[in-house]
Amino acid sequence: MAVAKVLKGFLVFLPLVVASALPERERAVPPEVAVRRAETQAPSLGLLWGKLRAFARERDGWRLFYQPSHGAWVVSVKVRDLHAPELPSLEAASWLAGPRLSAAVVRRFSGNEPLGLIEGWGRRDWWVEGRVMVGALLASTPPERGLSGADFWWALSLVVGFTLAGAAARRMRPQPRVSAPRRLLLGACALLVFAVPGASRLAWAMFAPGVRPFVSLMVFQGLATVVLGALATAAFAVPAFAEKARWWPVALGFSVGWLLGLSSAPPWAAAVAAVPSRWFLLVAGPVALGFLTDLAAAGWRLLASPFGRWSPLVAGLVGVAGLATGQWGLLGGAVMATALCPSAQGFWFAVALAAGFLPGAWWASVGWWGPLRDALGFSAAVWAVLGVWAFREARGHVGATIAG
Amino acid sequence: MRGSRVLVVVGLVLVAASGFLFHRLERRRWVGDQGGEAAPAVAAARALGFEPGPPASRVYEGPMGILWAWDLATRDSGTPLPPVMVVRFLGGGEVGLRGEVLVRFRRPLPTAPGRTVPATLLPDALVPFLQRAVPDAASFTLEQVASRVEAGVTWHRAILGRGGAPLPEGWRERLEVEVAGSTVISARRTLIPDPDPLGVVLARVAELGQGRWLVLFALGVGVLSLFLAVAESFWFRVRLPWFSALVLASTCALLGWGAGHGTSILLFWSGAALFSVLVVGGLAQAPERGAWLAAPAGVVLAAVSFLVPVIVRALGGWVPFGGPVLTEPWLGVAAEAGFRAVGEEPLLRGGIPWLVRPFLGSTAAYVLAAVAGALLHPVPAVPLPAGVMGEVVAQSGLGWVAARYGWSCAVQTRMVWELVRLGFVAPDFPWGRVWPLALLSGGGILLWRWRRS
Repeated sequence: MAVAKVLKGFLVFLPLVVASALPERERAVPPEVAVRRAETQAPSLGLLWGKLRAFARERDGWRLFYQPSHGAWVVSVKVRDLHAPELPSLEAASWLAGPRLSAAVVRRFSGNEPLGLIEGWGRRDWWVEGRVMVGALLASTPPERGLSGADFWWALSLVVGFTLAGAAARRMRPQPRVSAPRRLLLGACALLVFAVPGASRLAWAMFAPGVRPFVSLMVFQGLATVVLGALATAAFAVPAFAEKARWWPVALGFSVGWLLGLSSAPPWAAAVAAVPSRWFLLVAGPVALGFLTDLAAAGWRLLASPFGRWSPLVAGLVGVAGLATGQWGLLGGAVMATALCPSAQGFWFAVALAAGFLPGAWWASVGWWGPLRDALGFSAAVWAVLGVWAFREARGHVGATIAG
Repeated sequence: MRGSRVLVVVGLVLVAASGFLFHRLERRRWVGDQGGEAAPAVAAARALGFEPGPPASRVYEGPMGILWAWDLATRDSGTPLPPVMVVRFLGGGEVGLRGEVLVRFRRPLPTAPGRTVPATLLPDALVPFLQRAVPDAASFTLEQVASRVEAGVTWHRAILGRGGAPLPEGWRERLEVEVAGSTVISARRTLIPDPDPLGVVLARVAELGQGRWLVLFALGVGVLSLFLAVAESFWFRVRLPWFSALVLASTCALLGWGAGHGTSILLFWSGAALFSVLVVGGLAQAPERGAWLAAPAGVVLAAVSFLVPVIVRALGGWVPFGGPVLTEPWLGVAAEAGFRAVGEEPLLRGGIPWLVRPFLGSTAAYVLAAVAGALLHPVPAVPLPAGVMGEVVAQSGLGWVAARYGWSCAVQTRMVWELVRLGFVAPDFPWGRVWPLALLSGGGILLWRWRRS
């Protein structure tokens, strides 16, 4: 019994041990530094960039997206952490007037062999080796828009399928209504409304040439409204069932989340750290994600019920496979880990796992004080609560719970 | 009894006013109802010294950006630019006509193209051709001549250009003529639009396209919710109208296939229709039946959708009449009208209000559905909201029809509405015969209701 307690305590603080033992790695500089360097050091394109609309973190640097208020073009510039800013890329609306250069002129001007051309409404654009001639402006190749990785679509399809199955399971097998998870989720949706304006900095794919930025922002906010409205409705339509939260699933979930964040440290987590409203995302985001993960886990339990007593093993194997395949496999891994939990504690485990992910990822990848302070502060608060909770449970009191 | 008579009288007045509006709109239509037959193209080819084979295909081309940009630039003078009818012939060759003006000509290279014309004498050699093919050739000036020799034949390309009247300000037109030996092989007139109206049009289209994706995402969430409701009903053995739902979904798929839509679109809208009918037909109370309202309401709503551009233009803005030109044959246009009615209406006027009503109330639910429906088929407008708001008003009318007389009545009303609206912008559609028929049907039904009441 005592050994089990010591082991549990060790697992709770394992992330700190792992974090201190990790070799030093390159951390992201804040995007403000990248913006300063881009605007002062990047090669000129010969036109006004406009206002900074969004940014994205790549493995070795920041990619910044500028668009003027008329929206006719989008300039993106990659700023690597230890190198000079690269030649910016330019995506311009096809109706913008420009010359229709011949291949010979393009060859002379760019110094490379033309690979192909695009006849636009107002000009001709050429693709050369590693570059694009937009009319007469030589720019670098623009980033690909949209998530095109196969692993992303696999993971998303599986998780969406499980979520749908979980929603069907909750409608078909209603369980006693518990108000605490519903109130938590509704409160999280309300808080996330305040995160939407700042989160638009992450939606670089919405800013397209030819579309005015304020329209893109309106569409993004509409999208966020639909998602949050659907979540809030789901709180009533497919409510989570959870007994009174127990210490161990919450502690284990937070620890596992920290470890997943530490080990994977995806680039998008560093981008989230740069968002002005990161505190709302840090506090309210895990509740929404935890609800969806728990729902997906319920779907897995329904679909895996033919496996009988082998379903935990299958869930474990699928989870490990998901974690091993890549970054988006984390989604599948989190769902399987939640499915291994008792169903009455799955919601708390999933919320804690999601809550631990961002602090762990920031600790591993972010190199400026603000997000590190927030991660440490949030984690310290959680560990303090867990400590008091464990102490009170050990003393035999009925601990302060979150369940209704 | 008296109330229904008042409604019938109001309906008759509205139908008559709609007929007056349609009659005035006839002159704005691009192509008359004799439509684009291939005969004018054959005659044009013969006039240019080329005896074509039988017509192989006849298609209409825009592009839509140019047509809308022209409409925006000339909204005060009101001279619409027709789409180009391109006829291709068996054995080679094609002729493109914009109304009666030749804009494209291409013929196969003859075995004996004639003696080579020196480049310096090319402008004089082109005069006979230009006099036959380009009535306003005098306004064109020669800008460039390029030559090459290919397989022993000397080819010349002459590029002529013009600007100013009768083109709108800032617009130019380019004429490219290609000569092999002394035979004109091809001629092509290209409009080069002023970047300002073109940019406005294309930018608005791109912006509304983003809004359309948002609406499709929201409707996708709605369809998934309907799927859950159906799954729950199936689990608890609630009786559902499977047969009618499957018939409607199959009809939707068939109409969509006839209109030329892709598989993903067919699957989405057929699924939406299926789940909506299952939910609404099986779980909701059916209000008073009103199939008689379909024809008169469809005619009035079509008139509303044409009136919005008139009002916006009178206020200094711009909204195009109709929407993108439909280049399909008239059967394809009818299939598209049916696809929109059978695919969208069960979801917009049945499933979505059923989902949303418990949270927002009936009125808000139908208005939300109207907004979603408006953004599904947006048209560029200046100012941007003008194109959507007009459609929202018209689709709210459909919401009223659905609330009062059922979603099935809304489906029929939408079919009549879309037939009249889409037919206006489809060159191959006998619009001039369809709108009087719809008008007479609507008026006749109202008079019959008058007699019954």
